[in-house]
Amino acid sequence: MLAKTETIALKGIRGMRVTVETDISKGLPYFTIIGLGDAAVKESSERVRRAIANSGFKYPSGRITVNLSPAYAYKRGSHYDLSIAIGVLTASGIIQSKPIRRIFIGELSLDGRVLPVKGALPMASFVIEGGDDCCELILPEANCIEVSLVTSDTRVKLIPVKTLDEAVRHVEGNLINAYDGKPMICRKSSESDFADVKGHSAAKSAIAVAMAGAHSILLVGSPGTGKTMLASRAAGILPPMDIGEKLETTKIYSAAGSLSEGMPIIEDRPFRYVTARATKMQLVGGGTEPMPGEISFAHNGVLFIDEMLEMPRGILESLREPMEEKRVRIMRKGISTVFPADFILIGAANPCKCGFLGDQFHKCTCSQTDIDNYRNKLSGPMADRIDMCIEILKPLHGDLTGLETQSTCELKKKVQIAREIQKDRFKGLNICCNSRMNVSQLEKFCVLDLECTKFMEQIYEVYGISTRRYHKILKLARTLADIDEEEHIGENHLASALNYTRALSGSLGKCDSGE
Amino acid sequence: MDNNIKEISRGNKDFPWFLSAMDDAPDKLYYIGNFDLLKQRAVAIVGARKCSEYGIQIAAKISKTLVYNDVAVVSGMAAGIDSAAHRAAINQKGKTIAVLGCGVDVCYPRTSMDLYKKICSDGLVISEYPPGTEPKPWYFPMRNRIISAISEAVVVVEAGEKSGSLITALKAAEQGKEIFAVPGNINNEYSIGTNKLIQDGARIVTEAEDIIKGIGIVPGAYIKEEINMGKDERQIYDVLMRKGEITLDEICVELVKSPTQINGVLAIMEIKGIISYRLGKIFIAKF
Repeated sequence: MLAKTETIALKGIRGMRVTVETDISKGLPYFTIIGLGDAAVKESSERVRRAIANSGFKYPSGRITVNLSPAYAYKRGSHYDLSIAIGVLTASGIIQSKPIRRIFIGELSLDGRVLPVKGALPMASFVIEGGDDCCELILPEANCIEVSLVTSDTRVKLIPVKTLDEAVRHVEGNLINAYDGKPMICRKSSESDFADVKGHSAAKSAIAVAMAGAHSILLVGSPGTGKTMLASRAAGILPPMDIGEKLETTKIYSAAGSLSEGMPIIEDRPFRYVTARATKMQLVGGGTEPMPGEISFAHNGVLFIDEMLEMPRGILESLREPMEEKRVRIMRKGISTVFPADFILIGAANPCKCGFLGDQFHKCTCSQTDIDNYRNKLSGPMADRIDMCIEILKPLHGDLTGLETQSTCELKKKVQIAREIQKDRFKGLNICCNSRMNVSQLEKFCVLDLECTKFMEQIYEVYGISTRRYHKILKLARTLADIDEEEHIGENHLASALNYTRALSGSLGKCDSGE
Repeated sequence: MDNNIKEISRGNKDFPWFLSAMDDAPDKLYYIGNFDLLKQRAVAIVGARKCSEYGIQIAAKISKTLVYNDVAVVSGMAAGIDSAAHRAAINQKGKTIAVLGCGVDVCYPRTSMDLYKKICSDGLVISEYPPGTEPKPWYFPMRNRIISAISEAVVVVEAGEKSGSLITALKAAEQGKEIFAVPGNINNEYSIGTNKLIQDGARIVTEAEDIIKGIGIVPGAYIKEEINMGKDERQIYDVLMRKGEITLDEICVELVKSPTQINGVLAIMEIKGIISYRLGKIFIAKF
């Protein structure tokens, strides 16, 4: 007898409907699963066999063939167990299935329990995007909280099951109540506040500017001056994610299996920390089974690369495409997998190889050639990727003990205002921040008056800045004007923006600027 | 470029007497540019490649003063102090002579190509090494003897404990030239060498005119450039004059203004050439 059940396969964070065809025919006892499954799928046969027996059902004798259709697509993971088990039970006549569309997701344990799986959220959101919103989604109870993020306002019923037995009884008509929990808010108040970083008022306002317009920023300073402290608090001043952004970000974590009971939904904007020793795979993603990298984990949040100038050029170069496209494409076995990667880059770098150039108390041991070589890394691929560069100096002792300091709350307000102005401006366009403007949008939204045009002409001609930097300055100036809640870009904004990009043109690296 | 290279041998009547008088005089000199500059009064400004903003500013200031009093600026075109001295002289349309430790057609360091070209066209580049010679570490101490030989005095702006500039000073002393040293903070690694020179009897530089006076020229009245500044700029300028060097944070505290406001003003001041940045600190570039 033949039975068909349904489940979902995942490619990156995109789902694909899979029909599980189970056929039991006469012959020697045999259980095979075909349809390009990975090792976890092949082993599914053993789990299914024992889970059925240990749940008190009769395991059918005969030749069992399971086909995961469409057969050409690779299938990975352990979440096919439940649908295969239900298929086997239906094919053997133990379950008399009702004509309702049901989608099964879940891993089986040998004792018949249904275990949580990774990627439940992207699978569920595929079901909803697919438009069939009057079906049942039967899934492990532990995955319900994350999945309810997409299903809460749709007609898709979430059926949480703890064991195979429960699932079988539900299918037979002994209905389990659908999960009706609202997406749980388990917001942890951010532990780190900008108020803890004393002094650094210039750096803080620069970071606020970066966050307001989603500009990437490089912090240059000696070890221990507070670069990491500043960067780790940056995500906290971004406005909270809306439901769509939460969903996108949580999907990535779900697909990678990084969600936990304590954190079923990504509520806060992510902050990801990467050192210069990170591999390319770790940074952009990859692996035989394509997994998201740090740039995707930082989606809608902040990616912090420490010691950025120490990072090999090749790895840094791999950021080029994701930063342009806001997504990353990973090719494996002729199949490309796409993960979103829309993040704000914060880099940190030492002023020289040893880190103490310009430090009052430590002697810099680099030769001038070392310094030049180190600084030259800032040009080329690095400079392309960075909109702003600021220098972080050791705060004075008076600042450390002082009380006056800008807190996350104050900075957040600034960013919020600027973000709202941008939202209005880009209504109907597919961008949300100033840094994402293309040239035609620049012309439309960054209109300069006569004086400002003259000023830009002057710095373009006299300073010899590149066209790219010219555009960066315009975008930055737009953000600065937004923070000041001014409709028109003023000369002060342009000058300020020029100053934020100053170090990128190479003057940071030159010792003989002379006069 | 190759066509511009000329050479002159020791026997030639135009060969500078003060070079042929040396014990280890070069047999031949190769040069690009105006050879007559060697007949001018000249002072060498030398210093470390690795230097502080203070050193760069002082080198530029001394160079400007020399140019103003019609004295040629001699240096070695290395990064740091040397380049700053050359640059300031070129910018003031003054005369400057670069003595290289490689062939005259080789630009070292490569990053100073723009400077090299300017000196070739407006000044003089000389070397005792045949064209095409690549720089070698031991060539530089050798060329230092020429730097001091063609100068009436040698000013050491910044030098670490083992800086090559100290060799120039030593050579100058052997040749009986006047040696000036710019004093610095005793904690500053870049000033150890110069402070020691002062201890050993070099003349101390307290203002740029000291050098002019030292070689027997009555300095012309220095016309202070009128700097056109707005109110905010003037405020920042005053704070800078008082403190010497300052960070953006400190200016904000001092003037009770937000960093974004100050930032714009600073950018405009930098365009005007009033201030300069280095490693996050702000300095006055125009005195």
